[in-house]
Amino acid sequence: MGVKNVGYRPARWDSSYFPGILKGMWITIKHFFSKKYTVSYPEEKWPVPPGHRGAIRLNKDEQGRIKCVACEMCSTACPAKCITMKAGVAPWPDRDKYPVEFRIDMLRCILCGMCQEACPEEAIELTEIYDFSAHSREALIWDKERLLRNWDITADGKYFERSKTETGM
Amino acid sequence: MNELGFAWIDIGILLLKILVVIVVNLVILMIMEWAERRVSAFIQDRLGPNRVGPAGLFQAVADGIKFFFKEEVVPTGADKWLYTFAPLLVLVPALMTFAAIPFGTTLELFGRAEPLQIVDLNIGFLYIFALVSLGVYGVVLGGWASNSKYPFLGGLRASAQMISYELALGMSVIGIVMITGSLRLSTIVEYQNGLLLGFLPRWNVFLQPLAFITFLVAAFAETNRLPFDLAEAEPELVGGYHTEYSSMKFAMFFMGEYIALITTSALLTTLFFGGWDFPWVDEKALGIWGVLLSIAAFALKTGFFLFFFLWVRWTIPRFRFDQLMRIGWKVLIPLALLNIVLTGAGLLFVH
Amino acid sequence: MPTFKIDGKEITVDAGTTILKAALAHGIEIPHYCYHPALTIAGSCRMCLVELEGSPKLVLSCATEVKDGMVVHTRTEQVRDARRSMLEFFLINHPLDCPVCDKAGECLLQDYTFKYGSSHSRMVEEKRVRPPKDLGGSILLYRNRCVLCTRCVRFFEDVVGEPYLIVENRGYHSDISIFPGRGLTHKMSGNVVEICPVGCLIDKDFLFNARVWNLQRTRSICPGCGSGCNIYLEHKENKIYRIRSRENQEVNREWICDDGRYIYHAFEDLDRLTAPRAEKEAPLTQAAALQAIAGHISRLQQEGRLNEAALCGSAWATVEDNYMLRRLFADGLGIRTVLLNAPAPEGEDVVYKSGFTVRADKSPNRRGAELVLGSSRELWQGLREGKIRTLFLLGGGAGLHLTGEQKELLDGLELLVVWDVAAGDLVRSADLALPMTSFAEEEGTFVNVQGRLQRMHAALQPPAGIKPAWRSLADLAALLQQPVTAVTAADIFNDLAGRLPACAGLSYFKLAEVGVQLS
Repeated sequence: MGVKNVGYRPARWDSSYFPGILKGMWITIKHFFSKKYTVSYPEEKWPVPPGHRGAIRLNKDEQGRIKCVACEMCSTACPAKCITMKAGVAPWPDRDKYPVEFRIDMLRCILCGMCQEACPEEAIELTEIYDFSAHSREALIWDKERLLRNWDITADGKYFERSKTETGM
Repeated sequence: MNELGFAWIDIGILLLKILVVIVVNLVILMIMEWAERRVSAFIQDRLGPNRVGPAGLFQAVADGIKFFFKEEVVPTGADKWLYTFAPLLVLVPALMTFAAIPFGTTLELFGRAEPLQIVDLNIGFLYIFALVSLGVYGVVLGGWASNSKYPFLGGLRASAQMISYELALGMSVIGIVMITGSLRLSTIVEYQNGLLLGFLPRWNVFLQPLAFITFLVAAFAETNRLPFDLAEAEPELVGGYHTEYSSMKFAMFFMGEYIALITTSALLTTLFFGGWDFPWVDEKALGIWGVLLSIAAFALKTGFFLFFFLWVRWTIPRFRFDQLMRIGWKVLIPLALLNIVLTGAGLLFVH
Repeated sequence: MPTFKIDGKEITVDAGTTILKAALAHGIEIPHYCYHPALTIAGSCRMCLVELEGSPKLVLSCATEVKDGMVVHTRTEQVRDARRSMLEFFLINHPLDCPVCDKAGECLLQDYTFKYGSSHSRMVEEKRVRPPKDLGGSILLYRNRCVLCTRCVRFFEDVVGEPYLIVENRGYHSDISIFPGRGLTHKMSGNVVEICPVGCLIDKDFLFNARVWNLQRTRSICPGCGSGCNIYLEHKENKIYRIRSRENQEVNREWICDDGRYIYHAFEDLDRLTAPRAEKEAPLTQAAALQAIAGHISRLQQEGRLNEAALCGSAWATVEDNYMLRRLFADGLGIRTVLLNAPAPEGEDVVYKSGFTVRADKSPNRRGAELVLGSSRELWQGLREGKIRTLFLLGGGAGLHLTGEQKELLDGLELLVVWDVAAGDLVRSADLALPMTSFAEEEGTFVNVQGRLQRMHAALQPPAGIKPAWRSLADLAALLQQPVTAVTAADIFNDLAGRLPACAGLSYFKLAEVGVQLS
């Protein structure tokens, strides 16, 4: 009648519940005094493992110039179609093209990392920044400056050591 | 003494004591609300609420403010009067129970001997059980007045559960009454003030272990705490009897439950752990320090039971309703009866 | 009529046909750079090598004529080896800059390397790097990318007839160059960007503007002159990024002139008329404007002065717009005076060596307007006679400037109603002006100077509130209770085909892509 007999018959001592209860109480009180795993966000941040696909950054080269050459491979690869850019003639002699405007709609971005895979210049990368909420939709449409700032705060791998005022996040 | 047979100063002191007891109860209530979450968090290796005030102690204040500003929703078809009355019926008896519990030794100050107890009733025992059984009405009425299925089921469960366990609760302590020979709680405490076999405090827990276990289990059921919180079993009944309650009315149910918890802890202390007795010390001989020591002892023991309630809650899963009923009727009541028989036999043997 | 066998397929071709041409015509792909159907054979790229049985080595399929009984293989190991090796040579100095090259996506070097090339490079030497060279005009020369196919050189020789580009130096130092002191400012020079198989010749106008695979293509007709060149509008997000030629051997072959190639800029900067406008008044709603026109017409009818009214078609507007104007005002209301607004020819037609012609008539649809309006007179001539008091005028020419006399003639009218694209001189003289869609925003047909009826498609969404002229004419017809209805441009054309003998039997959706020559 709906009840399946699994053939388990507890010993009389066990069926008094006491051994189970006492064992359980011992376990819980041990945990009461054990190390706590809570991360006190936002004062502390959980350092995500390498390879985490967080917010996107635009990389800079050794001279501090934007690495991107505006080839639109990322926006072509992007399944969410969140990357738009306007290319222009680069002001530097060693390259032809650079992005005059570069915009990522983080509301649309699904953080899949296809842009990073597609980029021939290693100019666009996903970072360990996972907390990039904002109070308006406009604030989540990131322009070139915003994306380059992500490089500034993450390039040295010390994002989680920076203060909130420094990262702005 | 005036012509009516009482002194105004007595009334003043009585009112003062009532005020102090209520305030202390409410403060502990607030701490409990915080402690419940902190303890649960600690047991689960978390930190719990730690943002409002030092270590999150003012969490209850924040919750209070939140509850206060919540919209008050009364379901259509609810019995308005009973719906409003039910939370009060949980809260008030729980608070009233405390009136008969002695929380310290007699305070002798300015030539007056003032027992630290609101009223030292000669039938304190009966008074307490009468009020404890009133609490169930709040739950049952709340469940019924909501005019909603789940609360109704919660109320039904509560009534069956509480009536069942009240028997065990009452019968388990008859042994104590038999030993002490009094229904007066202060006498029961005084009786436990001493030593057993020269080293063990003469607490009832040692004299009546069977009664203690029975009482403890029944107390969990009476206070609707896990593992016996079937009346508000979230996975089955949403919120149980208080599903339809919101804002301060819900908060009152909440407060009532915690006050009942405090009272039950105090009662456990009083009946089985010597009340305000600090073992191996004669409080009466220490004057004012003895009084403070007795209050501290009482607070410590009550505090331990409060923690114990939380500890159990986050350890043991909820019983099934049939298990609950079986334990109540087939285990606890026979055990309590057995305890009475054994106590009787023991007393006969001693005398 | 020789018959030969290629990849096991028996094919009969006209005498003198090359193997490459025959193969391409029968769906067999042979990679090639220097071969272009409109240019003379150069045989310089060596990509089209095929195996010919009986020949000791591979032969150039572009330069070998088919002989009876030939057996050709295009997919043997030897041919594949040859292609792979040729591509390796091409890529010796070719930079790996596809990501920033505007040709990427439509580049033959890219396609062939992908298809026939090796997936890795054996070159360890430094590549030769030479900076891009500005050829003048709107063309940039990226010498690093050149494969020396000389299509561009031969284009100027064979099609234009005026040599502009040359191959400078020889061997490893060969280089496409221009005669000293000359810039590549020829009207046809934009075509070399199109025929360049790689990203060597790049248009400054399109430089870095968009990646080609993001552009949508819409078939259209150039509105620049009476030739009616077939074009592709390449657009993205409601903006045209470039215009390319569309092959039509009957009209423009593979070419368009630079006037047409960059004509979309003229429409981008246009000061558009975006809402109906009464003289010196705030904009009206479309409904109010049509009500006002209807009111004028019924007053004229009551006063019996319809004979003082005239309608004027436009050589810039589509056949459909002109036809609606005629149906409503001439056939429906009985206005007898029919005029035509068309520009005076500018100089002479310019004919190049291949026969490609840039017309002096700078309106795209004079023949079409004349066709649907029936007998008409020139606008200003008609006005000078002074009999016309009310005029319903279809504009459509962007940047039309009026002389003082013309303005006076228009101001002398009692009522001038104008449909126009831009808020120009005509609109300023008008008592009531209504907006209409512009180039690339409307579908319809044009008839070029040869009498070829060609269809164009809409590429862009018009700005909010702007409708085709035929649509507001249809709305006006409904207000005047005239039985002239049309929901789409196709309705109008099909109605027209039933009434005009020249178009008899034509159907809008069955018009050939190359157009229909009207008798």
